[in-house]
Amino acid sequence: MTLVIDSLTKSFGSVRALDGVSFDVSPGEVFGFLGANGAGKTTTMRICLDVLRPDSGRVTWQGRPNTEVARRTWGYLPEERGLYSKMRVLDQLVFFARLRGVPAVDARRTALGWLERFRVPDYADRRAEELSKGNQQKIQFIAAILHDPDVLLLDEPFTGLDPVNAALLKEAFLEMRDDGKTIVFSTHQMETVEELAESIAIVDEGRIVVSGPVREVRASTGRVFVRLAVDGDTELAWLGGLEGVTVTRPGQDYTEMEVARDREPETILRAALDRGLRVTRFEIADPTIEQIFVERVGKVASDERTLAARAAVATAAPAGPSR
Amino acid sequence: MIRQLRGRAPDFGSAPVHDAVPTRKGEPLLPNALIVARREYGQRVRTRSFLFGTLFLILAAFAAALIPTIVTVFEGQLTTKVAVYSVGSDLATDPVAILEASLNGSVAAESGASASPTASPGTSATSLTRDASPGFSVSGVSDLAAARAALLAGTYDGLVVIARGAGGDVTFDYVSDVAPDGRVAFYIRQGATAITIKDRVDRLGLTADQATQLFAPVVFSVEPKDPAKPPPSTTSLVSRTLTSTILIVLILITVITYGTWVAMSVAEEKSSRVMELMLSAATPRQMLAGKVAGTGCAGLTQYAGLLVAGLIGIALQGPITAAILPGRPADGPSLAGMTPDVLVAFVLFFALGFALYALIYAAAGSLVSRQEEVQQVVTPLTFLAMAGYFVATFAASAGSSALWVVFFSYFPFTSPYVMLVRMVDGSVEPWEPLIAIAILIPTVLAMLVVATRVYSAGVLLYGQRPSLRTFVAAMRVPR
Repeated sequence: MTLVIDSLTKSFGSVRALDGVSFDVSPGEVFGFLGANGAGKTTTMRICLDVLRPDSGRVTWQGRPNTEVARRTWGYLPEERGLYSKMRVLDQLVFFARLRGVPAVDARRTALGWLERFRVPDYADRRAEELSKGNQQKIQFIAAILHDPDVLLLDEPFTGLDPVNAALLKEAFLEMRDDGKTIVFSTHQMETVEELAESIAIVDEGRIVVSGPVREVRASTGRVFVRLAVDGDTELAWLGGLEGVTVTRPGQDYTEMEVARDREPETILRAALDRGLRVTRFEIADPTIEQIFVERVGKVASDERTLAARAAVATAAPAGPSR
Repeated sequence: MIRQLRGRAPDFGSAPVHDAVPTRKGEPLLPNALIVARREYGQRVRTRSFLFGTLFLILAAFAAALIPTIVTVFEGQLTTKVAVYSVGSDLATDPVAILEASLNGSVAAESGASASPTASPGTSATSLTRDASPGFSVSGVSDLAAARAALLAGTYDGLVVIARGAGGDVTFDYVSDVAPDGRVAFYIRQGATAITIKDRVDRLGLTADQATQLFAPVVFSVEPKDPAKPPPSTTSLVSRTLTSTILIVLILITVITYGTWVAMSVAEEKSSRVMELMLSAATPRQMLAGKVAGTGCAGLTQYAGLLVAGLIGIALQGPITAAILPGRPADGPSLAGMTPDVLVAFVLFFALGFALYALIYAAAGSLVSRQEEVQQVVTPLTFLAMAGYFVATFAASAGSSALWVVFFSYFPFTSPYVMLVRMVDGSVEPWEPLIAIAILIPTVLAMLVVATRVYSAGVLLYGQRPSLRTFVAAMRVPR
């Protein structure tokens, strides 16, 4: 009863977009799919949707190949947002739902309910082009879920939303998880992954470099971090004198350091107390997903390396970047 | 990376089309094609350009239908005033009456049945029934000098001076500014001939019966070579050309404007990226079929408006003319050859021809990334559509039984135009259009397959330079 992505490979000309991508997601699970732009996230989602066919490997849902699974099983929020700009919001929501077999009357009622819930009921009769980007994104989210799909593939659902709207979306997101939906989402915001996802996969240049439950992934590195804050001193220059301690994030609020394996983290607390400092924060932590991402992928998540750019280099064709 | 890109000359010949949206079995065209068509139609008819375009066409059709009435109204107000002066009044019959009857096309002359002495021999009866002839008012004058002064003052447009010549016949001088070879001079000359002949008859002293006998019309008729196929009259030929021109121009305009709409609509979906969502909801075949059908119906809606306006205009002609100019019949525009079967064939050829071309437009539209590039791919298609139109135009002038015309009337890309021309011409057997349609339908279906292939690859394509090569490459992507 799971979504299984099994050893997908896919090449575009001489560019290998996917090279053995595998993971599976259970119903009621939220799966974070991480990777730089062009790493293969969108290609994987398109293969799930049967908009692209893999060169090898397969996707199954509840044991059936995705090519035989009905389209309405899937709810898709593309990374490249787009609505019919001249069409009224409610009309297009009904249109997309009807394409997936929802009767117009039901689609209309459900759409109005969602608009209400996302605090944009007045937008039903507006043209899409009159809406702000954030509001268009909410409309697209509704378009992705209006037909009550079993599997949600959401490409960067939170990008470009203000905190209030992001919270509205997260709430809907978790509610659908509780309804037993299978949710795969990609994002660049690592905090969101830690907040929402139970399992993750990090993909780089078409290969999965890390995957598994978030807790295990974070613990598996064996690295230990300490976060420390004391009254009246934000520099903590004395840390440099401690052996086996490397400051990874100096900050006004707290300082984060990596502690060597052979050193007990508690010795740092003791060193601070010995100096007569008043400790306001002391925390022993596994590395964050962001740190793991940087370690494994070797660059920041938002690095622009689109597939089209890779294709351009590989074929030396005059293809521009994808936008 | 950027240096690498800049370092190489752009290779426009290569068309790296790698992939296409797969076709899945068991996904019927309906209902999704219908849902797409309804959206396309609804959006199209709501645009301002559609509204104004339709209004313009309706007004144009209405005006065109009323033109004969308008011409009649204007001509009715233009009366040529002619004065007649007779040197010595030895004419047995009043020349003013004869001239007036001749100039204003007397009913007797028109019917041709009664032997009117005013009809000159050798002039067929129809030449006297002039369509919407300008009115003439003829009056006799007795003072030549006063008449000449009035002529110069503009009271009269012309002055006929009748005298008795040396040979006994009457002579005529027409004093006016009209061209010696113009229409008015021709009519006056006809009237003068009528007066002369009446004068000769009177001088011969024939009785009325003898005169009638003398001018009894000859029995003459034109028999067709094949009685089953009577040749059309000259006026009917002109009218048929008008009919077929209207029909093929309508098809041409539809293909070009609505075809461009289809291409624009596809390009818009790509550039706005709504395509991403569409691809997960519908198959390329459903999208294509829906788009072409929806846009085509918008076109048909426009023509329905045009047709209704034209028909109302024609129906109103009689009452309007009667109201403005009592007693003058209106000449309706006659569209000879516009028979019900031609109309049915027009709708069929219109739908199939449009579908054939619009599918190519849609496929071409799928190859561009931005709407500004649409014009590039649409221009060659416009030439293609015009080629069919020109073949039809030549066919109309070449006579529709030439072998190459017959060929193009079956060839699917030209048959919507050429077969219609041949039908209006009346030179086809009833089964011939059926065969043309029977060829056209599988061609449209084949085009749907080809266009779907191109479209499936095209919609995933961004940043390519659209070209024929890309088109072919997109069609041949393995899947």
